[in-house]
Amino acid sequence: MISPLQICQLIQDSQIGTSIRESNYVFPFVNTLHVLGLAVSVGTIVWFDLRALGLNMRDRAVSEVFDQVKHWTLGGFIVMFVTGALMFWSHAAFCYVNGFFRIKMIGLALAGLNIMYFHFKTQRGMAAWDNAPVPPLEVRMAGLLSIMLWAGIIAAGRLMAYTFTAEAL
Amino acid sequence: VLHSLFDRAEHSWWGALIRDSTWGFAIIEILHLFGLVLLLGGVFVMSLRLLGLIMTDRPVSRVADDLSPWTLVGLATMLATGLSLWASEALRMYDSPPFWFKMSFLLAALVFHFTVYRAVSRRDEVQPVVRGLAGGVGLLLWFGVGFCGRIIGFF
Repeated sequence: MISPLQICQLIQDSQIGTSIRESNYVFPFVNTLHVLGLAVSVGTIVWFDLRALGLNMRDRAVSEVFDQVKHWTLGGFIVMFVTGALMFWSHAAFCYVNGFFRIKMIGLALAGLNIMYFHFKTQRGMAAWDNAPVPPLEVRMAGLLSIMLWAGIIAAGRLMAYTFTAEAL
Repeated sequence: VLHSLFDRAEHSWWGALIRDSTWGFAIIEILHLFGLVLLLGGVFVMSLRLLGLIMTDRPVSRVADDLSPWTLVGLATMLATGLSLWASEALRMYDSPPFWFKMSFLLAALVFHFTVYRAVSRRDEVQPVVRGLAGGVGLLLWFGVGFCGRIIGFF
């Protein structure tokens, strides 16, 4: 039976994984795009979170702010996902054994759940608070949770790189 | 003269404290990224508005009022944490080409931001061409700072 670590090792040792890792330019370039993608994805979603918290753009409907930023947030996330996948490809086994990588993945899953809960549950009653300068607690919690989760994801992502060890190899 | 400034920063108690602590540099770098989200996120949305690509039903000056306080908090965070990171490895930075590229972009971005960009963002009757140009240049300069900043760690 092949273990997940062995699968990760195979991914990392694949031709593409190895060439990304060993290239002098590809990895730094992909990593830099990942950080600039962060500015676009989290940098736009934070405006929606601040609106949901009632801290910014209070005279605009919550749904309007969402409609304005959503395409850019999504575009930023696609860049993050593609560049993140490429970096995982080249360091899969390093990632697998790294505690911060696991924290980051859990954080991403929770951020996804937060968005789905907001979309399918909280948003149903939107008509009642869409124009409220300060939305009800449930909406504010979603915004706060989003900001906190993304902060945690960023922190774990940055700490990963400091704690990659050769023990995976 | 410049070298002695870098030397003094490297040997300052603050620089040494960060350098000698296990997590100091990493934590300050994370705060630097939090600042980046606010600063580049704010510049991104403001520039899109100047380019006429987002929130076009809201006057430019209103969007600027919404975004600029948070953007400035981001800038202040980036400058404070950036100076700290620099102090902890100033002599290495002195010899780093990407660092000097970043500083050139930063100087250009700061000057542009607080002159042309600010002026255009506060007026609602600017010609769309001028407005779009200011948005595009501001976006390129600030994201150029970010690009060079990440490259410092690699070369």
